Amino acid sequence: MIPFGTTQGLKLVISTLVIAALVALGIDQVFQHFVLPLRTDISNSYKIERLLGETDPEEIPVFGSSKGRSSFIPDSLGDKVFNYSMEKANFDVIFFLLETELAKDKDGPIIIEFNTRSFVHRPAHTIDLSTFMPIKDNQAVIDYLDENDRLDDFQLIPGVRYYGSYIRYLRSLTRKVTSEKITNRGGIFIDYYPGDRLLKRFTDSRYKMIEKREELEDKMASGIPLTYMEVQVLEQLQINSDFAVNKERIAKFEAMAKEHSNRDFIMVFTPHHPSELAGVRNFNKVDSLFTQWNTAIPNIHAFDYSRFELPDSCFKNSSHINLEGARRFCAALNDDIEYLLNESDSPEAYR
Amino acid sequence: MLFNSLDYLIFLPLVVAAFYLIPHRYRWVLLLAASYYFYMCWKWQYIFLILISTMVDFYAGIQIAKTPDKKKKRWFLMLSLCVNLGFLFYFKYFNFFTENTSILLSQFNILADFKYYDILLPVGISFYTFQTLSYTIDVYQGKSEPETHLGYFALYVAYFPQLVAGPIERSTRLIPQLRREPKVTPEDIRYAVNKILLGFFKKLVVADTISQYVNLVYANVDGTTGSQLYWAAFLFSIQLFADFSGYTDIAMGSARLMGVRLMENFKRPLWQENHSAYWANWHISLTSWIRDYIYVPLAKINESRYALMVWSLFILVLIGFWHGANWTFIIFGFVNGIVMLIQRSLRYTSFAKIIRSNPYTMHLQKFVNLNLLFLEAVYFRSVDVNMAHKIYGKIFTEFNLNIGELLSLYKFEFLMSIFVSVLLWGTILFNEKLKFKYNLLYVTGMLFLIIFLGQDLKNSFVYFQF
Repeated sequence: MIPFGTTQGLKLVISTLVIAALVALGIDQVFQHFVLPLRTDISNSYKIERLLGETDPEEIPVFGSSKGRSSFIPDSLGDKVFNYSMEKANFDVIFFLLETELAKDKDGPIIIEFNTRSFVHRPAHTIDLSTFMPIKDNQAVIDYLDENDRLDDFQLIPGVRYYGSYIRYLRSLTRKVTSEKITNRGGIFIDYYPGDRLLKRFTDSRYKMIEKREELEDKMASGIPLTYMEVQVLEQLQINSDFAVNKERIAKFEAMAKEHSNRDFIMVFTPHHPSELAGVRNFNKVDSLFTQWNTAIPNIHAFDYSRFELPDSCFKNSSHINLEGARRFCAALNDDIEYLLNESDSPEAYR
Repeated sequence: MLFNSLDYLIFLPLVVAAFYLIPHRYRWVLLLAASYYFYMCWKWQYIFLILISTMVDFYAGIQIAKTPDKKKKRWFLMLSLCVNLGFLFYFKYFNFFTENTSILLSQFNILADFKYYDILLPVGISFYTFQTLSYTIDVYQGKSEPETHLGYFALYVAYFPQLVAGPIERSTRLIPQLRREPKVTPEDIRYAVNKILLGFFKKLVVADTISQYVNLVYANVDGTTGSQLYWAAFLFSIQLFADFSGYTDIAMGSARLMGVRLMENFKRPLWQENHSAYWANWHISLTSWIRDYIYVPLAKINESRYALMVWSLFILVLIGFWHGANWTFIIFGFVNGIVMLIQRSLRYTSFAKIIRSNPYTMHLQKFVNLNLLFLEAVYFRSVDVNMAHKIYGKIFTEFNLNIGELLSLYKFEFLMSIFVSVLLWGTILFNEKLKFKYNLLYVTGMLFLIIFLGQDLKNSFVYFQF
């Protein structure tokens, strides 16, 4: 019997498959040759490509998440600073960036943005495939994605390798020409204050989250059984509010730093709105980790700017500062870094 | 195995090609093996539940038909009901009942700390359980003959295109189609290809794009405004429709490639004048199942006007509870039922007649009904009742038409969601009026949209959890 009943039916299926292949290859090629070259320095995949190819021995890279991207203004920190921060990136991504950077014959410092979720290991959430796909010819990238179980078979097929990411690329291309965003060597800074009302909404949301967590914990402590949903909510609230101490990953980072004693690792907890820190009950663990780094590992320098005093008008929301906030923060950080690098034996420089 | 995976894109053509290559008498073996493989890709151990259900219902069906003794017939029916509903209760509702019992007892200072069983819900259990139950009940009621071929019966229970999320087929409709050698026409293939593409478009482009906005808003209820929550409720209803009807479209298309016509599950449900019409056109295979096997028997007990109102309300609550073991679903069903009863009681008033007499006011009525559906869906989407009430509180006190405020959070995700919703509406209209000569254009357009706008989130279908 003829597959699909009749010759005409078979032709229809085959023609659909052929059209699908042509459409996929067509879009793929247009993207490869006309769209991707238009990326600017704020595109995440551009940043990866740049880091892999950059050979300037004096470049000072900044690694971090969106908090880092909107906090470190390269122009304020030095001519050779480039901000490689990208949204959601924590040490799942930073380890790869560090390995790439440390393989270079350099001895300059590396700035790393630190936050309470820096060491959470969630590659499915933190490693954005669209960042890495344009560089998938690089074996190190392939190995990295593979190690983190982020590479699908279909991504090796020409025509569908960018599937699911086209809009994200277009978005990063249009990012520069829209709104009040100002870019500077990889950093994106927002010259915008949402207003007291909206900021209050963001901060209230954080306080309500803390309230909810405490309410559920009290309920549990008093012996009232929690429903399955409540247990799930509580777990999520605890993950999102406390400092996630992942000893294995911290040890991995420390080993990296010790192995490359010629490089200074400047860890910076960027400014946060007080509401964002209010629920972090184990902040003392951040303090002790920073103290341990500052005292026991000579080339890790930890700066805690989390409580850096900024008025509300310097925030974009409760967890990100705006351009004005970034300016004030960078001015202070610049002084500290200069002090540190020139007089590295002065513990007062550390906050 | 998910429909929206590369695995399925390889699996389906292989099965279809093999289907046409082998003689018809062996096809049931191929399809059964393929169906079990399809299910076992998810969690192989749970295939034993399907096997037990299949064996019990096959045996019960034959025994019910064979024995003249009514009491024995009833015993075999009870056997089937107990096994199937027992599995469903254990895997889906057991923890809910123990949790609530323990909360209830704690009100009387009785500590009953039942163990919580971390049970993974077998995907599709609500669907195939209802499908097999309909078979046994039909045989018991003498509406259909028992299936004597175990292979075909097993295939009826586990037929892969509709195994995990329906449509819930009746044995009288599906088994004869599986038994008969299919006469597949080019029109069948055109229909199948178009349906599969439409399903992928609904799922990968529409549902998965909207889900990103809805998930962000629902994860941050405290930080979002009433307007954002209203639009999230609106978009969630579109997401749910695109997700579920997308699954059904792929199921129907896949089955039609092999000459099987599955029943329509959706007929423009969202744009209807009232809730009765909505439920008559939404998840038709479930609502018709419940009508035939629960509502009609109840109505036979007492068919007074008030009794019918109570039965209708009960049915809607049951439909809500079918979706999941959570009070949100129960309340969702209850509120739907109440709105439906109010709408029914207003149907014959002079005001309603005036509205129906004018096409513009009819559209207005559909719009109002649509908004009610969106608002009710807040219960459906919320994690718990408190969350739903918090959302309602914000929608009713903070809603405004300030675009700046609406776009102050998740602007890109919101605009993309609106864009794909409009695209869905246009596609459905175009699809309904599609002429054969434009089919190639349609196929090309759909493929372009799916490849260019499709999301690679690996999200399973929303209804898989039910």
